Amino acid sequence: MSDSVALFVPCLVDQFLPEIGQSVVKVFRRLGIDFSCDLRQTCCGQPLINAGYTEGAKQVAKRFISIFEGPDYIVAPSGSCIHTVREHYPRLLADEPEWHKRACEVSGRSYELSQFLVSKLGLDDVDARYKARACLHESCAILRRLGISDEPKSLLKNVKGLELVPLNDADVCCGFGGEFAAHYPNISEAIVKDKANNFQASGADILILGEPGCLLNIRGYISHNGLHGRVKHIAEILAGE
Amino acid sequence: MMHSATNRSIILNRLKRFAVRPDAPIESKIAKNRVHDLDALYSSFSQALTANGGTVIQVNKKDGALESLENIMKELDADTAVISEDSVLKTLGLKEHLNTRGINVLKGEKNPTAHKGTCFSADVGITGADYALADTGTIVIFHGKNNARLLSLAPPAHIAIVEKGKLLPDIDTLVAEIGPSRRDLPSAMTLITGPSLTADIALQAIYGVHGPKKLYVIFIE
Amino acid sequence: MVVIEPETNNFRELVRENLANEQQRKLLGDFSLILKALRDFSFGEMADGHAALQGGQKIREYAVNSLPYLLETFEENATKAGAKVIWARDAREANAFIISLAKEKGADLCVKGKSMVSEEIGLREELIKNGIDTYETDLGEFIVQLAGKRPFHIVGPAINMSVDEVSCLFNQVLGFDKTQNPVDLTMAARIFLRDKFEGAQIGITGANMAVAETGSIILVENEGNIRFSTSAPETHIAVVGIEKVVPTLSDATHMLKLLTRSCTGQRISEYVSVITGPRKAGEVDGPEELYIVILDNGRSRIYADEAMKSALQCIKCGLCAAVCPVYTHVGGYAYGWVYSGPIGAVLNPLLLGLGKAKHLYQATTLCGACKDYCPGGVDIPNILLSLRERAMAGDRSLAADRPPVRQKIFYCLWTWVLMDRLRYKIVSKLFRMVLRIAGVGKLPILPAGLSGWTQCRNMPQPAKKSFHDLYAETSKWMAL
Repeated sequence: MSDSVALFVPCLVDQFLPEIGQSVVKVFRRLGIDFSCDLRQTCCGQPLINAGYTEGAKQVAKRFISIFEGPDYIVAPSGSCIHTVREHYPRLLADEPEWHKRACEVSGRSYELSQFLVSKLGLDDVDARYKARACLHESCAILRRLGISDEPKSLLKNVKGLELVPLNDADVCCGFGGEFAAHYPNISEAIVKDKANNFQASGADILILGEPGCLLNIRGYISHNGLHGRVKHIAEILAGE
Repeated sequence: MMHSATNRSIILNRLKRFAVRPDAPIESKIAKNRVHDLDALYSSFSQALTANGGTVIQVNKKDGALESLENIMKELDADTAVISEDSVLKTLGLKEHLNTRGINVLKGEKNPTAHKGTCFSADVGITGADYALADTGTIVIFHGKNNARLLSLAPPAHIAIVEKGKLLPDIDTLVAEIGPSRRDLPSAMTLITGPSLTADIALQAIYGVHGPKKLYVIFIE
Repeated sequence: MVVIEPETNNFRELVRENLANEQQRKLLGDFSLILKALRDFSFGEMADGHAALQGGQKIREYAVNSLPYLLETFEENATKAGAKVIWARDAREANAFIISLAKEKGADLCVKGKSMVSEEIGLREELIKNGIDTYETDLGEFIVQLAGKRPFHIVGPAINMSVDEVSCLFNQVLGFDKTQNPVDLTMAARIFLRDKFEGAQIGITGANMAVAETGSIILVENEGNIRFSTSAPETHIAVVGIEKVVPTLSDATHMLKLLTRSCTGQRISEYVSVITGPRKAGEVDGPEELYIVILDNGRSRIYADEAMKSALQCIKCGLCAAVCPVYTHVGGYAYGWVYSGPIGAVLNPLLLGLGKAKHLYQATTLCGACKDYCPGGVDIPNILLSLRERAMAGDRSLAADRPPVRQKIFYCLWTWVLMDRLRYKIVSKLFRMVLRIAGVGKLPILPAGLSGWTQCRNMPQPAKKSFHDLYAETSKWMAL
């Protein structure tokens, strides 16, 4: 395709999960997607918005918009970052008409990875190979805030060697919620424990999801408690073994 | 001391600064009247109310109704009844019939306290109903002079005798049916869809906590 | 008699207590599962449940946007039907009016239907204080009234009490014989309250809806106590929040379908009362007088705030709590006041002041399940974010506390770091280094604010090289 694609790498991926970014790169290269990754990028500002620190969030939003105004598409392996750009940027900048306009434009061109591949490129088979029995956790930002559910499922259905099994309460929150996990740890633990138990009960060896925050949360809980199973981002599955 | 009229102005003025005038007249949307298949409606009604713990009977004549009533009274081992002034009950000659069967039909009281007394002491309350809604198994009573409220509430059993022609598909048709007279509703319109129910103690479903424990609906052709 | 003060700032303590109660947690989990399943099934039965839901959200949005005009129409029609419409600005005024009316009538006994707004203003306690015996008549509310406790759950106020506990309570307070049979207990309550229905001079209820087109109030129930409270006493007082009005009777029936399905999965409740004025001439029961007390108590302030306004679209069905991962674990007590679950996280701070309920809008993952299920269209996640914004700004108009200085400094610094690529690179590299030295995974040594993470989780492995580093290297290599 001739449209320009810009990769946005969530800060959690940049700092803790670079392999997810690398997986996205691998998938794009396999599909022959010409993309750029502007290394001026830092963060979408979501933690500032969640904390209610709008003065900072506005600055970060404007910086993001300035960096990403050029490309036709902005793609990120995260629903919460894209939701932030789509819903919160225009809202944050509502009383600055010029910036609001620019925010709306950037917002209209921003996509979560699976939605970009399936809905924009029309591809639900990315020629991926991954042998495993897996289940899918439907992260809140992806499922509820962006309304994305069919896209990741159709992508995973076409991964050769991948056996998908149902996950009980797949659409229930994992208990991350950003700073919530650290500030209200006992509640967060109660919620992630349910998720981990459902994962154990599913019979799957791998829990697939599309949100880096959920990944760190669930993986952190599983490793701390010595539970069975690994947690992988959908990009890693699509990149293949 | 609070002054209601002043409060009214304060509250409304405050709200109006941030409100939008309604852009449509405040009129119910009324769907077109349809022709109803009464047998199909009866079938739905019966299924719905039975699933909800009520008993539904269909009879095609006055005698059938009286016979069903007698059977119910026997089943309930009822001695006393309060009945409404509904025309359907009058046409059946209900009061006289029950008297001949040894059921004491308590006198309809004009005094509210006495009326409470009879309703609270009767074994059964027998009323008509103005409409019946098929999809939920609901009977609708327009309370008024001829259909006092406590008759269908205080006795432990309630029997409603309804003309089959009063069946409507659902609550939307009810609103359509009421039509312009929704501007002049009765003091109370009660929709009854089963016996009184609670699950407030350890989630155990128990009937007859305050309202009637038994509900019977007899449809007459 | 127990006057229940808000415990909304006791959140952390209450959460700790409630999370430790294994039995309660199981009950909450199971009950939420059941309610959600019943709701999904009943919506699935509809011709187009999703369209119906959206239709309801539109009705409530329209109603709230035109609120004062609809209130005027409601008042006009209710008055035409013979009701007396009274306006009260706050709890004190509403209670004072009702008490003086009761005294004027020489009332000494009052029966009450379940009404959250009446709990909000502490009406029952005020009546009792003024010598008017007042009984909750909804069985669950009756039990918690006797127990002097707060309701455990919106839908089932006393379901966390065992049959034995209820039996002991009835025995202690009312002198009933002890029994292991819940039917006997229920029948005992029935007899006791029946006596009150017959003897009460005043019946007090709330209202699920106020219909502008007809001047009617609509009340929904399964037990029959509301029908009694609105039919047996000579005076009926309905306390109605300003937000309860809907435009037309057809709007009301639409909302009714969503309300009962969302609350208990019922197509319709056992009883629905559509009340239009007091009894008419020639009627032998029903109240001689119907007073409708329209209550503000902070709602008009919410209304004036564009970011918070949709909170008034709530129809009090309780579904948000059933689908909320936080509520499902901590339960209703933790919210510390009348409203619990997601709508409680929004209303308690707005009605009590942000500083009095500071944890409620922080202790949420913003998952958005509440918003997806809400038949009223309340945008809870965004209202929660707005509450956080106002708290950060120390908004006095919402009675927010001044935020601690270190908090603002922290986020200011965080912003500063994110605003420059080099700063971001250096600081994040340092951060990762510190984490590696601190001992990632097994040894949690973290700044105070973040130590909560490692209570039950390992720290994530900080990458040796960030993605940016790796990408820059590869690009350099690829450019050769």
